[in-house]
Amino acid sequence: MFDLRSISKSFGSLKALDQLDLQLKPKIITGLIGPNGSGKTTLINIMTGIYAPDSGSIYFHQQNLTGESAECFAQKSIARTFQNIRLFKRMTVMENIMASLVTKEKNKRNNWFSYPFTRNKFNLNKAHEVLEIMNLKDQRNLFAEELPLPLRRKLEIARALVAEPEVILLDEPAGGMTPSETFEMAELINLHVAPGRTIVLIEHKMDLISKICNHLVVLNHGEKIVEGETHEVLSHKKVLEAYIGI
Amino acid sequence: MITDFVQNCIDGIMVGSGYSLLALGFTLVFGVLKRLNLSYGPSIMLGAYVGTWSFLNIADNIWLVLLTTICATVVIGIYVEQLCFRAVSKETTIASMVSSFAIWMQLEEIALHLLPERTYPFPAFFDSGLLEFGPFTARSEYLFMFVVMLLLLLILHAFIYRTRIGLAIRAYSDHPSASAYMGIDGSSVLFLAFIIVSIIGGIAGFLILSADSQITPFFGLWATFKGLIAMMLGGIGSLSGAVLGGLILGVIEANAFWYGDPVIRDISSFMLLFTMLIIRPGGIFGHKIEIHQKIASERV
Amino acid sequence: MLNDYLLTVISNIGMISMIAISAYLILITGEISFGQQAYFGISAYAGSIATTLWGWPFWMALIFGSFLAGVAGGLISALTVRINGIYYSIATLAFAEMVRLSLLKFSYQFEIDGEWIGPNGSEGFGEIRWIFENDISILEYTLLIYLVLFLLIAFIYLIEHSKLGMIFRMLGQDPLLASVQGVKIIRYKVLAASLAGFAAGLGGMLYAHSFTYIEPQIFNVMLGVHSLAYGLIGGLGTVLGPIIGVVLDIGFLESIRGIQGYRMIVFGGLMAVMLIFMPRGILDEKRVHRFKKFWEGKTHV
Ligand SMILES: Nc1ncnc2c1ncn2[C@@H]1O[C@H](COP(=O)(O)OP(=O)(O)OP(=O)(O)O)[C@@H](O)[C@H]1O
Ligand SMILES: [Mg+2]
Repeated sequence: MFDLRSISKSFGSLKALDQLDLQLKPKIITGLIGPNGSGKTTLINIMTGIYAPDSGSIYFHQQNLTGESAECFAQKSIARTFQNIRLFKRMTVMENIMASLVTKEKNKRNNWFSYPFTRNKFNLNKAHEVLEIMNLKDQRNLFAEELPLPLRRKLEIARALVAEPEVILLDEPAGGMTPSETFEMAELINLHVAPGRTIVLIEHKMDLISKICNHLVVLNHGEKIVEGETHEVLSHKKVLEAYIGI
Repeated sequence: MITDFVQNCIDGIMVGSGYSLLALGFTLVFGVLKRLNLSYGPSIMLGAYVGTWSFLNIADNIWLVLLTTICATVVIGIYVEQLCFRAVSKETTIASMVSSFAIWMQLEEIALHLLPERTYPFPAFFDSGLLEFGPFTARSEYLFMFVVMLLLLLILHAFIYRTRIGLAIRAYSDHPSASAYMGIDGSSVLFLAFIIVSIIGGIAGFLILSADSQITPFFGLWATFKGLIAMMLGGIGSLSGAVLGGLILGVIEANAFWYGDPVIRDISSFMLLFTMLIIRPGGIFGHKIEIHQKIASERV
Repeated sequence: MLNDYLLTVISNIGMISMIAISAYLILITGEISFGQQAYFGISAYAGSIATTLWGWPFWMALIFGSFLAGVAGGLISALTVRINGIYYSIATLAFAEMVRLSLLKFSYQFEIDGEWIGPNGSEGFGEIRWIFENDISILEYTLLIYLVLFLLIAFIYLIEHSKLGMIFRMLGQDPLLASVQGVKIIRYKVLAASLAGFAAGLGGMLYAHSFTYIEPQIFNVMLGVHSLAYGLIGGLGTVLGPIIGVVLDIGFLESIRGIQGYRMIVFGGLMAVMLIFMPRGILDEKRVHRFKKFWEGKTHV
């Protein structure tokens, strides 16, 4: 489905991605790992249209999306979270979730005249559902900037979920979390995010990776060095080299 | 014909060196703060009013006027810094700007209390004389302003790029929070920047007004406008850009005035500014910064 | 009782509120415009030409002027979509000054009843006599202004609570995030700017007919910066914010006429101090939200 062919991206003289090929397998969790600065986030940015690749092409369901805008990628039902959390700071948790529904297909119950937008029953039900799933119900009237970090990460995922995307790209969903919070996040992803969806998960925490990823891709210096089943990859010589630097 | 044009350009550069001085102040303060200080022009205006007041009420001494103008501008600059920029939270750039506008209104009224007439004479630095270079002429006080402006540019450049304090200012302006980890005290950098900028402003106000030999309350608006336009033309954050922007603005204005009238002069400078912002927002000489959308320059 | 002076103040508040709403609309989409006075001016001139020189009916002229202002707003916004921050602010300032200065050169006069009438450069545009010709009292005209203001507020209020309002706020808070959620940024920026132009245009046309005389100097940058400040004082959380700002400014300044000469010193200082504690105004997003929750709690009981 998601098909990246020899993607390159440079920032000045720095090659962040170098002739990278990647085919996502539908309906499984693909882990994307690699040392700091290896180009993982850049790859996700390219997969959501935030950066256009310098060369190479991007296909989604056989459709060429190379050079399209971020809006276009979003409308193809691709959602993401950010490593440096991005929320609408001056909106409440509820409004942040509703914001994600703003551009969803205009069905009978969600058109320009469904008024007021934030009280729309159809949307509200959806939003309450995700809030329930992500355990954010009690915070729904807080402003996003008032949330502690783990809840902000959850809100980002909730926002992605509510749009019912086909693909979700998670950029370090457990970044900065304690082991127990990480554990809870792993459960959430396994139970509620992953089923029926194609997921890409960037993470540095190997226990999280080994717990939930079926498939792994390892990047180093913008190149794909290994790809395969999780347990095989994790014991691969090249991976150990890249990480431990032997 | 061609001599007219050349003469216009000379006049433009002379007048433009005043714009350059104002733009230097603007570019420094915007470079460090990343927030717009609308009250920069009015602070200079009030400073110069204090200068005129001392000229009228204390002594007929040009040095005294220079000194009081600069000191008053510095004091007002500190007041603006404390009230509009230090106290207002950094994330709310609009609040700082609007607050500096509120102070502008205040400064204008204070100036009117100090000296209630519409115009006052401003003492000339030395007796004005017309210098002749072949067919071309230049007024000595403008020439003097031009030279002072170039000197100030050199001093500032050396200060910003050759001293430790300059390094701290650049570090802060580049990345305030990272510079804090390096042990740079942001609030003293801000304070210092405002003092430097106010001194430049005081000198600029003094030179421009003494060349004009009169002062009105409109000087505040005028100075803010000319400084801003010159800064944007040259490209934000570059000292030599600010100077060039000022000179270009002067030359364009002088020619538009000669071939047209005052209204055409003003329209053409705004037209130039507008077109440039659309086509080349980084300024005529600015680095080609891509500010298409925040997206392009921002790390995601 | 309501004397003419008071009515003038009240109607002034109404008309200035419209340009304040216009600046507010741009503010919530995340930009600062120094140029809304241009649209106020464009509509003032166009609307007055329509009633005075072409003999159009008032309402048609009002719509015509404001529509023109809206189109101008959209065009300028389309030209400036690539820039933001201070670049956008200065570009709008430059445009507004271009408009003001062009009006100084703009002359378009007809001979009516042996008199030359119409805009004439720096002499301005006098004899906009629609009120007198139709025997409309100051009170009636004030009511008319408030009718238009009410419609405008209701319209913006509806927008704010619809999908469009959500999109505007998304743009204002994080355009990148908005685009990742599929919002076509450029389209909505242009739309917001057109709406803002239209709102300012309503105020401008009414202003011209209220004072019967306009000149380019009225539409200078001070008007624009004031209208920006109103939104920021009153609060950026609701369309009522800018109106509170206008009432505070004009109302306060009028009520302290006793200390004539110190008004700006007091008011400017108060405003600066207020912005330290409420950087997004009195009715900012948080207070509006709290107020709504409080209200809901009351009505549910
Ligand atoms: N907008 C940008 N401008 C300049 N350089 C960039 C930009 N974005 C990324 N880079 C550089 O590209 C390289 C890859 O960055 P990227 O963020 O993709 O790494 P990463 O694998 O996500 O690292 P981490 O694990 O630390 O998040 C880094 O060296 C980074 O500094
Ligand atoms: Mg990363």
